[in-house]
Amino acid sequence: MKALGKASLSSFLVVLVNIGWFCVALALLVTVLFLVAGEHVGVQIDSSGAPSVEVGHGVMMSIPVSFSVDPDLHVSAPSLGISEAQLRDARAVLKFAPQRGPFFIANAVLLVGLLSLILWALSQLRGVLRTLRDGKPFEPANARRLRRIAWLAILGELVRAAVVFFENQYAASHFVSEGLHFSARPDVNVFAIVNGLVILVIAEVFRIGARLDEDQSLTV
Amino acid sequence: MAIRVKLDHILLDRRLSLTDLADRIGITIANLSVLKTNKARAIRFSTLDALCRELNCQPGELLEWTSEESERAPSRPAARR
Repeated sequence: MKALGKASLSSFLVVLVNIGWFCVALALLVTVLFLVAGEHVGVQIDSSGAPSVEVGHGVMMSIPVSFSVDPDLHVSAPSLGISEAQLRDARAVLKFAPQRGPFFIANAVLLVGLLSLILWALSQLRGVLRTLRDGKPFEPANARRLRRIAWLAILGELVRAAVVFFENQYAASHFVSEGLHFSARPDVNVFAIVNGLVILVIAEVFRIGARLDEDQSLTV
Repeated sequence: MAIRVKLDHILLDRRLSLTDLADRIGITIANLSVLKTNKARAIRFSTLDALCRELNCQPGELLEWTSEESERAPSRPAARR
């Protein structure tokens, strides 16, 4: 399968990223409109820290939580012959009716910020993929775009981990449940940071490639 | 760049146009123009060979080295005028 040029893998990816870009742009627009209108909007941040929004009557707000259960809770697997197992370091999403206040506003601002960053990253990716579709991978702008995506992947992961920790902390200090103990645990995905570092290296390769391409085009 | 291509002078001496030269050595006018306007980053030996053969000159007659300072210096009085 062709990777570059018309009717290639990159042109297929351009279509996919374009669809993603318009979906995120629409989500951002709807979020801002409903937040400004002040009605029926549920800010959702799942257990991995991914943001989304729900709109309509009776929508719930969701935040990521980490918890442990009472040691007395009996877990076993008779079919495997395991009589005693333990449930530890669990992560889930806590859903509750949204209440207007500082926490809701902080989450709403966070949601708008995260969606804006995702939109910006997709714009950069669109730019890169379009040049690949046009068969010109070594555009000088591509190195800059890839560097931005890389830093966004690295810093975005740190921000995501901080958000999840902050939400865990909020749940641990306000919510109680019998047999459950909410706690706050850092959840940094090292692979996401390594991915960002790999993209940084690829950006440097593209920068050198762009320079060589320019040299080659000005060699008579 | 400190290396200048004196193609315009030689073409004037030989009363040749860029199009004629391009036809004779088989290089596009666009590429010769890059060379003539000193925008080229590098020149292939094969191009240099073709130019020297058609223009009946030595590579040294085509290329000239000038220091960066002397390149800028003549433009100053002109700018005052």
